[in-house]
Amino acid sequence: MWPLAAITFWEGVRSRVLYGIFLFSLFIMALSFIFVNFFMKDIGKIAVDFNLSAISFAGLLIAVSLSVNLIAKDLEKKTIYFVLSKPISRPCYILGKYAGITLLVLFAYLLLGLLSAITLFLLKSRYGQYFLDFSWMAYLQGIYFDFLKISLLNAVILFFSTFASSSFIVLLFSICTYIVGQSISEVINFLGMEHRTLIINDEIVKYIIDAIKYILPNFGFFDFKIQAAHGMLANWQDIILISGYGLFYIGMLLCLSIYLFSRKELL
Amino acid sequence: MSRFLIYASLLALLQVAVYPVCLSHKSTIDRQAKIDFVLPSSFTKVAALDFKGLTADFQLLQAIFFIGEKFGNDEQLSDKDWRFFKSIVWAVLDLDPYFADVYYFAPTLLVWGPQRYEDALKILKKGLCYRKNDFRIPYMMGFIYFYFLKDNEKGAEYLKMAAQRPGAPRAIYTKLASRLAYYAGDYHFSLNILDSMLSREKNRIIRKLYIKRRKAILSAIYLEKAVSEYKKQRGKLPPDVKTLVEEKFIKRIPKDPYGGSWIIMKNGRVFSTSKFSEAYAEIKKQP
Repeated sequence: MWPLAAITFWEGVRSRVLYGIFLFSLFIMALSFIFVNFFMKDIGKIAVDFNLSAISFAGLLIAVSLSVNLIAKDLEKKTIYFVLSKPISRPCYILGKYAGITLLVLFAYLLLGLLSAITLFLLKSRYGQYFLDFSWMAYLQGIYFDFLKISLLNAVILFFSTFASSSFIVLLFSICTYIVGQSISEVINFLGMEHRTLIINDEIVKYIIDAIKYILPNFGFFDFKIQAAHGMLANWQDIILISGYGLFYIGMLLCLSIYLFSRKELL
Repeated sequence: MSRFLIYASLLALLQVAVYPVCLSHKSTIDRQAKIDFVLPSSFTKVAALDFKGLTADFQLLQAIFFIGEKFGNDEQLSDKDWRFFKSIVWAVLDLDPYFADVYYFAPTLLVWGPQRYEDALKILKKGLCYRKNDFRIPYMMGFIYFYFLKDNEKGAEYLKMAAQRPGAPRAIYTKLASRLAYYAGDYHFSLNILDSMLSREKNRIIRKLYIKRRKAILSAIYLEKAVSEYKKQRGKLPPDVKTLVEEKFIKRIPKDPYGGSWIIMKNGRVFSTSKFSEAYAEIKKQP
């Protein structure tokens, strides 16, 4: 499994897409130097917003550009036959691929985290009096939860890759899952409010919403950017609970991916 | 092939020449278009995905530029413009209710501009819940009540709240709150503020200041009670505080710790010429 993970990782590192993503994120981080000047007091918040959003966006771009092609490329180039002809089982293939892409995301997050920390440090030394709410721990927490989110998204992508025929379909499914997963809490809140007045009186609709809530991953759980921007630390119970939710979901998706991929007929 | 480079240079020059004209025309078109709607936060909350903070930043920028442009062009802001501004502000606060800049920028503009005090106070009330450690928010509320709405009692209440929040200049706010409450005629509230702050205060210098203020207020209350008694018995107000001693309503005139002299107002209130201000005491000390 680990050699496959290493191959996936190095393949990702060599990819030109990754450099593009890095440059784009650096551009957004650099923009924070300009944009903070438009605001009055909350400069620390604006700086954190820009830097965390740049990292988060980079993570999303990695997922939609590299993860989507993880299996699809092997299938299209027929290299999968070569890999599977080696003493590598199908579960190992899936786990190796996932470990490789997770390592790549981890590497990207560490690098971008370091660069954004330098950006924040420079801004903090310049506008120190406007960084009153800022906390490095809260910032790291924001990055950690975002890493969990992208790891979960990668697991979703891998899951779709095991049965969808083309990378475009995988991309489409994954983006839809991400958008629905990201906004599910808001939608439930909104419908919950409406429920009291007029819209949902139908029991079946309520059950459908409940089912969607549990079936789809709730990406909104991992959004700690606003808290990070205001230096608000999550307590340990929240960290453990949300990490647990993410890890359980990733584990479940990997098991399902292994099951589906093991039954897949490779012609 | 080099001729293409020449073509490219010529075209670049042309686009530079056309650019300012395009910019001015587009600005005119945009101004005429009058974008006066804001996407509801129930939509932006979903559409912003996990970039709510960044979306809030850009929405606030939209509000800043909108007002800035109007002010820059010396345009009078209409009621519709202010409504538009207010809706952006609420959309931003729905996305990020902890955003400090909104709580400073929006209420300040709303009170000094269209004098929408209720709107400003509504925004600040939200800030009071979310920014629990920010003393400036209750301070601003106190200021609006005192300065614009002439409600000293409420002003004192919020100033007291501000004084209790971390990082606040406790001594100044407490004295201010107590003074407002005193002017509002609520002596007990004024004393309550001082007593509650005194019980929490450990700093000896600040305690001394509170005790001085407390003494001054107690003296004023003592005198006002005597004036009220005088009016009840004689049917008129005493001409000055000395009369109260001469006619044995009080044993002696209490000293104003700030060095001022007592004056009886037409409504029976007793104030000091020092206005209980340290500055007066300092001036008096000078030769």
